[in-house]
Amino acid sequence: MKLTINIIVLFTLCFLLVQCQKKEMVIFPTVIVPAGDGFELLSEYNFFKGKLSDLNPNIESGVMPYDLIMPLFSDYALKKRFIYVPEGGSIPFDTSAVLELPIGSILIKHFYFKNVDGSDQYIETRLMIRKIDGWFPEIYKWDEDHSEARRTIIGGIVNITASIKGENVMFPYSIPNQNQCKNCHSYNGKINPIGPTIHNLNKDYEYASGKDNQLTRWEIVGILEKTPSTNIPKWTTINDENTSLHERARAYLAINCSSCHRREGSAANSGLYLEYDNQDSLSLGFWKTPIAAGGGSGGFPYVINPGIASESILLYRMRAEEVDERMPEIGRVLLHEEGIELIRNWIDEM
Amino acid sequence: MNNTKKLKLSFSFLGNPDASGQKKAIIFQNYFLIFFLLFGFSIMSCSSDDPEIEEPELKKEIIISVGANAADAAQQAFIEVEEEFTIIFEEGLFSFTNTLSMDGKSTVVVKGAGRDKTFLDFSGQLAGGDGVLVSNSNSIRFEDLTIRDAKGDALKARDCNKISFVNIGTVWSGEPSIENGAYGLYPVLSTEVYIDNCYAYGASDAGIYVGQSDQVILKNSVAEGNVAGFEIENTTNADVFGNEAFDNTGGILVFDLPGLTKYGSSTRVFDNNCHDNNRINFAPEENTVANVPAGTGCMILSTKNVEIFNNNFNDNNFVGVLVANYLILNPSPSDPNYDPFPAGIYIHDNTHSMTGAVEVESQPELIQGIIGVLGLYGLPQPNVMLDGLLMSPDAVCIKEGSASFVNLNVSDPTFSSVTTEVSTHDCTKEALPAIVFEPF
Repeated sequence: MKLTINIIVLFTLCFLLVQCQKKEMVIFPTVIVPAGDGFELLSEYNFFKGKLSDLNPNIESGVMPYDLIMPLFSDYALKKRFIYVPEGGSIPFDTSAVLELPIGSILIKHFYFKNVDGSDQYIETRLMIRKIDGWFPEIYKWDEDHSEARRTIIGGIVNITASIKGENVMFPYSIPNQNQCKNCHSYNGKINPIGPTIHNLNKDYEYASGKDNQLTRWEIVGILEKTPSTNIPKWTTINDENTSLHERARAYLAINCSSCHRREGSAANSGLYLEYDNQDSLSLGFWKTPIAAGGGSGGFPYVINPGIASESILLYRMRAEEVDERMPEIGRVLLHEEGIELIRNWIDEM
Repeated sequence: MNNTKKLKLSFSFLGNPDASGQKKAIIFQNYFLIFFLLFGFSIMSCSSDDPEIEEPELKKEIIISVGANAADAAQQAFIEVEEEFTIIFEEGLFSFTNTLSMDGKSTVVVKGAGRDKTFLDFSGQLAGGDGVLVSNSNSIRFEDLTIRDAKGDALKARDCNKISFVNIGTVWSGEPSIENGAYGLYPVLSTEVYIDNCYAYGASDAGIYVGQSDQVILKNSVAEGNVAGFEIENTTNADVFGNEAFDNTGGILVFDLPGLTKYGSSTRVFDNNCHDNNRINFAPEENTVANVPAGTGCMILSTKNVEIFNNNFNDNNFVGVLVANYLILNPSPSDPNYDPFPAGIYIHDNTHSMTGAVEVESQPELIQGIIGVLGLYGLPQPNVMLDGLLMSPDAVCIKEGSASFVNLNVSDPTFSSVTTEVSTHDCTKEALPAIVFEPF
């Protein structure tokens, strides 16, 4: 009897040992958060496992893919988003503002286009790193062969040929410099993320392990504190006909304009504030006269001339192609046809 | 666990039979060290008397030279520059395709070789709404360079404290055009704004514009060929003096508009030479400034507490000084906190002359109407004009000697209350205090 127990114990020990050794062999490198400036190479963070260009998230070390309901339009760039929250950290559930991520968190946003032959054309990967003294942006520009992405602080304009909605389009794409990152991410002079709000995350995502609501999944993996089971706000997509034109337009303006056009943002001096919950008609642009628009007014008297989209500065600037007239001021060269259509209908139907 | 292990190791090291020998070596080393230190000290005390050995002070400069990579180098310098550094643009032409921006910096000087020697050129700009942009910064000075042909505003400073522009030019080449950017120098939402000896040409809104700011000195500068030469808007505590404005549509504007982050008050406009501002208005339609009549010396719109004195208003052929209420442009400002009635305006001791004829056909529609009304009464273009939308006559005090005067009293839609009687405005106001601050 004693012998059998001993043998069992021995066997179990051996088994555990083998298991441990096995685990050690396939252990994934932990994500590294730089203390000072960002690393020179994107690969140094260990966000991805295997070949870098596969962008296969290092889930085992806390990198999760995610998506937004209403994304920012960036010249039809395709985007992949990932979030890294360090072990033990979690995000308080808060619907009143952008989520407060714990120190050491990183938001990763990859920008790419499709080539005519259907292959990918990687452009840049942007990071927002939450350090002790706030958020810091970093930008990595991809090598042409997609083998690595390298840190740039000045960005630059790259001439791109991409297949967009079945058409071959050539245009100058702007990789922002660090100041331009802040221009849009400015909140009272400090840098803050824009996308990750409860409203904008409340959707299903196709995880490798199956489909799940993102908030639910974040709670399960322990990066989001307990979510209430009911009444979780949710934004709508640009083309969801089941939701009102108003809801869609306001969510669109919120994500595409209000990071600057709010009292705490870079365009505070314009007096035009387009946050989702702003209910003040003047600062929303209704019968609001232009201030410093210059040619950007298009010769029209009001930002929003209710019922007449074609005579509203808001639509004019979305349709403008001149450098000094187009909006958003940074990150848009091409026209966002679907967005223009949405805002046109919204104003016309007022 | 690891710590205890390490401790054990070090104890066993001490217990090593060789340890005593090593201790002796350490003691010997210590004597040597003390001797060396003393010796070193004596050398150092000698050398400190010798000025040749002193290290030269590190020059805190970043120099940008003309060349293919100059724009990138400049942008990198603007991002990486540290406190108390000077970024120097050498003489020559620097071309940019994107906004050149600085953010969150402190105590930095950006300096060229001279307003007519160093040019930052944005004629090939592909991205960004401004030529140069500085934001969220403290104690920044731009000096001795010219910014040319920006697609939008030439030099914008937003949310800055202690921002200075000295000997800076903002220019749009060629005949002034509606295609030009809105503002030349454009400090906004800033405090302790200092503008000295600057030059602005060709802006389709204002050559030098200060908006939503506090504590402003704008002096010794020249504006020509703009819609507005100088403009102070929704700003508190500004001194505008010693400037020359000519060949603009309007020379000097002090405006207050609704729906912005703050309202303006307390501006002094004095000792300026504001002449021959008769250029046809070329601002994009529906911008507020598009309503400024060609031939305007100085225009006050809805602002509170403005003192205008000792200026020359010569040959501005529509009016020397015009005081108006924003309601004349927009009867429903829809900002409940906004007071469109100008008040505390004191116009005194200015020089006026008017020799040329006023443009009519090219004037904004509203202005054509006013010219028509004056014609109806057989009145010449006046030196001082009010629209008459005031809470009380003493909202505007006028002590201008023999200057001609018209109050349009536009609240009477039949225009039968137009008057040249200035006596109701014969009052004085306490002089506004000078703006004093230590500019960077």
